[in-house]
Amino acid sequence: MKKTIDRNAFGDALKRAYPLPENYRQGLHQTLQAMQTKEEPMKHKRVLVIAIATILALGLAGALALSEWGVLDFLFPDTDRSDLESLTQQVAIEEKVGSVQINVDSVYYDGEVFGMDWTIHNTQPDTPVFVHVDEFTVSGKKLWTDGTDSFHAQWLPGMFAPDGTMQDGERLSLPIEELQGDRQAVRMVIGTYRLHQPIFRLPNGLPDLDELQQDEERQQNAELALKKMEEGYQVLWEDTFAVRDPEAEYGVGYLIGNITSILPIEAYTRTEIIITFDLDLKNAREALRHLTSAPIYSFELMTTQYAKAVRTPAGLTLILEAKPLLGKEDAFKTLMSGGRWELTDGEGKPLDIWPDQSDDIGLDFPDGTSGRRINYTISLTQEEMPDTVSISFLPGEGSLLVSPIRTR
Amino acid sequence: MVSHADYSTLAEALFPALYRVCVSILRHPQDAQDAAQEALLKGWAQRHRLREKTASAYLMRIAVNECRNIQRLRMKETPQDNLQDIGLPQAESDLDLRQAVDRLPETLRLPILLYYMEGWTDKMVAKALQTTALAVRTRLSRARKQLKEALRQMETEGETR
Repeated sequence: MKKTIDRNAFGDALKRAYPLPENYRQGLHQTLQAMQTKEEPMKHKRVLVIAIATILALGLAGALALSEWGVLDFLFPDTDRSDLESLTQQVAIEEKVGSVQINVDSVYYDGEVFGMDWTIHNTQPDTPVFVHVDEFTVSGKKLWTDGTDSFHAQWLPGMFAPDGTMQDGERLSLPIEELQGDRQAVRMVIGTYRLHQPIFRLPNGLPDLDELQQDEERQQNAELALKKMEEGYQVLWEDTFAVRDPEAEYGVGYLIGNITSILPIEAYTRTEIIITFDLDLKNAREALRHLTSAPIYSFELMTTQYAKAVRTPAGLTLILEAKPLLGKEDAFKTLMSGGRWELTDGEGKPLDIWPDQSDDIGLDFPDGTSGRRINYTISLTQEEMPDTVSISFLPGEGSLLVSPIRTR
Repeated sequence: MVSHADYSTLAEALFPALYRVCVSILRHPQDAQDAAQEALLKGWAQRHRLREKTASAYLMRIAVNECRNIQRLRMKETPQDNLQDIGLPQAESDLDLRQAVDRLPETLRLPILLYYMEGWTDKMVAKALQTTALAVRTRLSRARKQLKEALRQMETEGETR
């Protein structure tokens, strides 16, 4: 007979195996206090706005309400940024192929950030469809999305959109210096993929059963899945397509992820929606300002230099390169591993700002030394903008290394 | 949007789980505490995204991402057998279990901790780790097998010493 694990006893043993530090409550309370001081909502990289409850509750009325949601609400959800209206463009695109309708109301561009919001609706939610951006270019230049909720592959209905309507947006880095002229042709080719086979849904979820009962249920589900597959069904298990897999525990595996990896592409009927519009760069180009900084900041072990420092009406984009001095490479590496980069004002006071994007990556210089490249994109209103900012290094020991730059 | 009081209650309840998962990734109590606290701060900043049923999983996901940031920033990954000064348990049997769990690859270790130690459902674990509930159950099954084998080996080694 199969041995089962007493979940509670095993959990308790694990808790003893991972004891909590004695001072953890103190740290927690400090954190909770710090939250109270952050009354102003902070900025964030991207937000997934899915008004499922609203849509379900209000039906058509909900759908109408959704249309009032714009790209600025998506990009700056907690802040009134009506001052950025001049950087938005109404494109009012509505395209429908088969049961899939896509609406793109407005787009935004400030010279650094391209944003768009959209609504995708599967009018036959009983039949799942994958919506996948097969091509997304600006004047031929490929744009790639980031984040797990990317428009690049949405399954409707999925766990976030049980009624088949998904409202979301995308925020992309699109530096204006890489673009020429005042207009750019944006082209999106959106593939919609529907399975040829009928779908059979396995019973969802395992209730709070003990382990042996769960195993039995899994076994039963696997047997049912195999039977239905033989009958010509595509079997869905929660949000997952089941596939035959002799190496899996019960002969049934699962695959989910990239559209083309779920099943052979031949298993789908593909239709295509093409969205095109011209992106006007003129307002963004006029509003963008390059900031001037000291050419090089010198420190004991390194020099720093802003490779890019621009201000848009929406905020700042800063790229700082840190280069170790010759012969100091090892000490530089030790310094880096013991501290961290922070966004501060010009005097080294940390800025209570959540960056839209921040990276710290290795950088090889032409002379063979290896340094760091730190990138910050932050959203700030005119009122929030400090006079000076700095991507500063906070070492494990010693004083802050500040590279101040004026914003005005 | 969630109030500070509600969020504090959630944070108080969730912090031990955040810490334990972070320490299992970072192998360093202070780093783990930093990551857990940072996750709570980031969660607060993004509180408009929190939904009652998935808030814990969402915060756990932030904490795991924060661990990745710390690993990257500190450019250090403590070797698996370097177990000094990481807040180890007192009892030998608990230490054995800790070492056995720590030896699991992270993809198996985190589901085990969240499912058994924190009593989360497979769906919650799946949300936190950005995978499917089915994948979680498969990983739990594999983790249990590997854990049993590791503990059996430790027992054998202990007897032969």
